Amino acid sequence: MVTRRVSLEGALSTESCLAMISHFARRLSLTSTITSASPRSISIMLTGDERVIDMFEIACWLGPDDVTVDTITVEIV
Amino acid sequence: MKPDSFTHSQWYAIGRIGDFEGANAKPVRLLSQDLTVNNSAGVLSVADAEGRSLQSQIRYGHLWTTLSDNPRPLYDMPEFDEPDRRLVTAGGVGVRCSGLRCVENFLDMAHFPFVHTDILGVEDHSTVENYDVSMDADKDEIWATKCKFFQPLASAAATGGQMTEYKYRVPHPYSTILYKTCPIRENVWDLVGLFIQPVEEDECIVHSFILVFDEDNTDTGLLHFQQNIFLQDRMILENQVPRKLPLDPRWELPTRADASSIAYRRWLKANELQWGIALFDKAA
Repeated sequence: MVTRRVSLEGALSTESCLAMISHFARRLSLTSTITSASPRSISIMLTGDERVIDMFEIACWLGPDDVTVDTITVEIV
Repeated sequence: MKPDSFTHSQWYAIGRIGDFEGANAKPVRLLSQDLTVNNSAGVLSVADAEGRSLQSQIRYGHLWTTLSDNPRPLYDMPEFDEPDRRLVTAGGVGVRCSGLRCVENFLDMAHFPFVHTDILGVEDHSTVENYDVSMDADKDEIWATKCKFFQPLASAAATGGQMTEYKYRVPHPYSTILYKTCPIRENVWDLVGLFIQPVEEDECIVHSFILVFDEDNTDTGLLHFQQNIFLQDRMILENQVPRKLPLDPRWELPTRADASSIAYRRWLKANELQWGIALFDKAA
């Protein structure tokens, strides 16, 4: 088990993005805490298997219809 | 639904040149529209259902047309001008799914060991190594490079297993080209590609080609190899749900092996492509 800070930047519709994050965290059995959220940036602390956190990152790249994700950074905490 | 502007403005292959020989007029369907290909003493032309003449051109062994009066340029493939390459076209194969699904399936290496077992992959070597995906902003096309996969029979010319290197190119929402290590020449690529004719949002005709250096196999041998692979894919494609391509990530859960698929979907989304796309709350 590892903990990572995942930060999304782009044209983020906050409500849609938070719903997506919640959906993937639940589906991947990751523990998630939103640490900041704005229309340009969202940060999440994720705890779980490192390979599954990698899947979370990949899944977030597409984003919901009203979201354009420009960058995703994953930091070791 | 009417095609979005990105879809509407493209050129589409609608058949091989030889497919229109021997008939004065042949019906074809493209983007939910009935068209007619007229053959006047060997000169092909295309008209819509109202008799309006559409632009057409012959490229890459196929007849191409567009519904647009001001289409985007058709992408370039200079390899078609190289001497000694052999072009084999496989003819149109109908597939009951969005053509966008066909492109995405073509980009997917993870299915090789399980769908093309003992040809393009083996179950003991199922790992997809990380590869690079980039966007060529000038040409507005996607490239996946440094793709490597162990293949027991990579092509009709292969004599045994090899670590095959791939490059994938997506220059058009309904076309994709694979550049693959040539088994008999160094530092050159064989090409395998799909020109997809979207018939309806969830139905298409796939025109495939191979453009290779191969001195041993007959055209029939090359054709059978390619058709065998594609018919294995068709069984999978026609069982995908939904038949249109979903862009919302909640439909599926991609992994890093799907990086090219994610780039493709992001590119479609950035170009506001909607025709052939499954909506998250409405798709069956």
